[in-house]
Amino acid sequence: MKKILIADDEHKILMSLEYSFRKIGYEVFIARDGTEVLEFLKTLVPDVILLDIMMPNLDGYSTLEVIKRDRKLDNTKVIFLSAKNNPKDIEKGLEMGADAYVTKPYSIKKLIQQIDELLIS
Amino acid sequence: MNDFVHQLSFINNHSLIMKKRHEQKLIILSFGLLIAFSIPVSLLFNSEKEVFGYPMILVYVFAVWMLSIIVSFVIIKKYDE
Amino acid sequence: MMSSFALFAVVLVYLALLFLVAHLAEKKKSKIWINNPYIYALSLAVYCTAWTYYGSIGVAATGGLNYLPIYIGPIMVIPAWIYINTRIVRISRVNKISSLADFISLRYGNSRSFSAIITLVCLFAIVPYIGLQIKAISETFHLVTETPMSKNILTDNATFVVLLIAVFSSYYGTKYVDASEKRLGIISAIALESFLKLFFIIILGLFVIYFAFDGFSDIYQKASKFPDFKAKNTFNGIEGAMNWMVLCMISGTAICILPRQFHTAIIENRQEKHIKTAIWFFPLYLLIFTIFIFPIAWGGRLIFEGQNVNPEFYSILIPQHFNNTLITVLVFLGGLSSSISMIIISAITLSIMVSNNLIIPYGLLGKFKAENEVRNTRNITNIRKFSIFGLVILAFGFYKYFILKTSLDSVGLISFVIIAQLAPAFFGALFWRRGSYKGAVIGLLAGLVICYFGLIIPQYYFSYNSELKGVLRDMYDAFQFFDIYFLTRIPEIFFWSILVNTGLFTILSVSMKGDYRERNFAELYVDIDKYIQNHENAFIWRGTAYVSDIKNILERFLGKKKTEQAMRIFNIKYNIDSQTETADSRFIKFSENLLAGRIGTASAKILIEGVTKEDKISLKEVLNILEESKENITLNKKLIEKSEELKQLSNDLSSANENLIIKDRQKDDFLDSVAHELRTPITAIRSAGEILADDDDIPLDIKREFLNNIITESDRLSEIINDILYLDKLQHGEIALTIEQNNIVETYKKALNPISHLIQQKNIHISEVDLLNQYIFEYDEARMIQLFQNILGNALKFTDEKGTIQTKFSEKDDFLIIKIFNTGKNIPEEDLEMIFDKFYQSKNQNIRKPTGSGLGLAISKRLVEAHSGNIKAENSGLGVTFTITLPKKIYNNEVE
Repeated sequence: MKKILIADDEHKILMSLEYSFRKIGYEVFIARDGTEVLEFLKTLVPDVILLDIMMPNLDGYSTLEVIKRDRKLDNTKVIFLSAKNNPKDIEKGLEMGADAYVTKPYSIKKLIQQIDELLIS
Repeated sequence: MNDFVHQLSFINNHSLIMKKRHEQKLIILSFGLLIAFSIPVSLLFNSEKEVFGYPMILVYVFAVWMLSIIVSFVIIKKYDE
Repeated sequence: MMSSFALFAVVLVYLALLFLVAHLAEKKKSKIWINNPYIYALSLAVYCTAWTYYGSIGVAATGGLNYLPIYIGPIMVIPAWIYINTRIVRISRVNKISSLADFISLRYGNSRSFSAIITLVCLFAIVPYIGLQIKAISETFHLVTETPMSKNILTDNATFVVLLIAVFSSYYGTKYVDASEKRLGIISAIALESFLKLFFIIILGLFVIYFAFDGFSDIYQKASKFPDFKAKNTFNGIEGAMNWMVLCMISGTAICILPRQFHTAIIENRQEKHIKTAIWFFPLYLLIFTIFIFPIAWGGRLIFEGQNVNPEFYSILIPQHFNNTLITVLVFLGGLSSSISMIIISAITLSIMVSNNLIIPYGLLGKFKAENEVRNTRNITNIRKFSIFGLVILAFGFYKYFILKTSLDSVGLISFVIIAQLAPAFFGALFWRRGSYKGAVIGLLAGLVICYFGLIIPQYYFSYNSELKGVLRDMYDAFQFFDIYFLTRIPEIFFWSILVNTGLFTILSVSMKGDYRERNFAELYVDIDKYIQNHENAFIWRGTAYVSDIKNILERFLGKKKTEQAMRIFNIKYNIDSQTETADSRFIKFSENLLAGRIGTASAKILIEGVTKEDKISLKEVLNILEESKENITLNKKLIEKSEELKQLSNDLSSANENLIIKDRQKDDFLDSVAHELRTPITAIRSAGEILADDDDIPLDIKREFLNNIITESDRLSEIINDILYLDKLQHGEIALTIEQNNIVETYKKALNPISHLIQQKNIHISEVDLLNQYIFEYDEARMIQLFQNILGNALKFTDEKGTIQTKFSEKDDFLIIKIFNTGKNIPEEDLEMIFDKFYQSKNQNIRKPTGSGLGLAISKRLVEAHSGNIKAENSGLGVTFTITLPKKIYNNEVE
């Protein structure tokens, strides 16, 4: 079973994502902010990390920085999920090393498709 | 031209040592004294009566005199610039 | 008593003291001395001469209240000095005026002849007065030593005293040639003398009051027994009062125009603000002086009753009567001080006038033109030295041969009346633009003629007890018509002479136009405040002149170095190239000023005239130019004001611009956050909707949950949008507040009502503390409810279960203070202000992002500010307090 770690501070968004990915057979881990993500990553090596950017305590960018330094997570795909959709932000996110940047609101179907493609490559 | 203009900025209606309206207070004092010592008023005090045991006119003159010194002192100290 | 020799020695010591003071003052020139307004004010007391010491006592004892006007006149005029003297000082400083004659004649066209006439008038009036002082010195000297007056001048000790004084004056008085250099040494010595003479008369006064008698009332009681006492201490009817008043006017004029007063008050003035001190100090000085006259006079009457003693010398005779040598000598020294000060200052100022207006212009200019600076300066100094010496000797001669029999009183007054003839021209110079040269001169001469026939001749005959004969007799009979019966001779002549003088002055000035030069100076004088900074510009002159020629003349009097320095300053001031060859009107005026400082305005003009060629300008043209320049000045003032305004405007513009840029950026940021905030609920809705649409076998409870999500997030979206729009309206003043009187506690309760069940749900304990004196305040109730609900709602979100919310109402000064406290997590220090920003989300907060739009606090802040109040958050112990401060009186205006 593939493992996916989803981080967002909005409960209702998490709910939808959790339901959808469970439905297609992922093991889903939920984090509410960057610190919780890092907490998980101490022991977990997920296949995918869905990262919101605007989160309390530790935001998406800083979390990504830490992830990038962790060799264990070299194969983990990290995708930014954010309401910030102006080109600069998208550029920044990708330059930081995210594998994809998906803007809110998104289509869950499309998201799943994108993740599949990423995992194959 | 700049110099000229710069100098002109000092030209104003104010006296350089005291504002004009306070100056006027002293001028009024001058006039007041003029009236106080002029005929009708001074004759008012020209009687043989005595005040505090002294000739009225002398008391009057010196009292007005003293008062004018106090008034000018106050005006000057108060509006000292 | 005291031997002649001893007294002479005392005098020498005293003079040595004066020399010492003058010398030290010159040498040290310490700041305290130079800038001391009391030195200035004391030097003005040179007004009190031997007349004050002796003469006035004589008058008080025999002549009633007439000793007072000499002082009352000045104290009436002195407050006005704040206006008059400051202007005279400015005019004099700017034009380098060195004497009274300069001041008057410059105004009326800078005429040599006029200044000569004025000098002669001063000589005529003052020399006898100097003689009076010498008389006083001599007579008191003999009184104290109880020796008879010596017939032989050479063996008379007084003669030597006089000689010493003459030497002292000529040495220290001529140290400085330039009018702008102040004679610190002399003025310090004079100030010392003024102090000493006051001090000694106080001692004498106290001696008479408390030693010779038992206090003031004792003297009074005894003196009131004199048959003429009452008469002497009241006015003698209307006549007496009128004479008194005229005497006041005479002395009021004298205090301004007497050469010695003009010199100390104007020429030696260092700082304008010293005049302020003089205005109260000098009348006070005079008051103290005068207070003792009465007791001394009547004390003398009492002591010397029945004896044929000259009351003028009571001051000396009284202590002598009691065999008190010390006080006798002190009084003598006091009188000596009074006399010496007068002699020194008068001699100096007269010598300046004589040298500048009589000697130099009428003979020596040619010589000066050819010599160098050192020589010229030495010559000028020598001329002045000899003038001083000569004048003192002249006065001495006058005393010996003319006024032996006359009282101090009448000579003094006659002197005042003669000097007063300068008053119309003098005051006219300050205030009246139309005053003309011809009017001034003719008025002056007419007044003098009246004085001559009205005062001098009768005095002459009176002294010699002769009768008027022949032509003179007829003339006097003819003038009987003009006799004013209720005025005594001196006030009467004063009245007529001033009347005729002023009358002719005004009539002639208005009926004949002056020439342009007069008009030019008239402007400079009357409008001194306007022209003070660049008076050279106000001088109108047309013609050809070369800088080199003028420079040549300047060097002959100022020396090469000073001339170059002055010219450099001039060039910088007017931005003129130093290579310029031709001289313009400014330079002409400037050079005349420099020279005037040395040799007087009349001679300066003549010298400059000698090397320039002036074109004739018509009066009309000059008036036009003056009008123009006046307009220019006002225009320039306006220009400056305008440019200041413009500067201000441009500053405002650039800060407004900056604000716009910031606001723009802020708007972009705001839009970004708005978009962000909106996208979040939309994402939730879309995701839930997508799932519901695609998933057929979704469990019912999850389905329900998702459906709920859609509903709640739609609501949230709606709330956000509403709040954004509402905040926008608030910010753009589209929401008008309805300020009314309401009960704040009731309003609060109304706000609390809808959310009270939510509060109860969380088991939060809510309470209010009421510290108010009043309940009715002015505010918009609906907004206040909104505000309360926002804050309470916020508190509710952050308060834990079983927590506390407490609201405290209190007043302080003009403000209503509402504090809402809730237990719960503290807000990080750095966020305490930022929580009121739109959509604020702290980076470090441990608080989950609350529900709601995120704009609640921002809206609250705007609402509070709309009421002209303020809101702040602070951590208080276990929780957070929001403090709302509202003014009790709201000056209603739209929300900004």
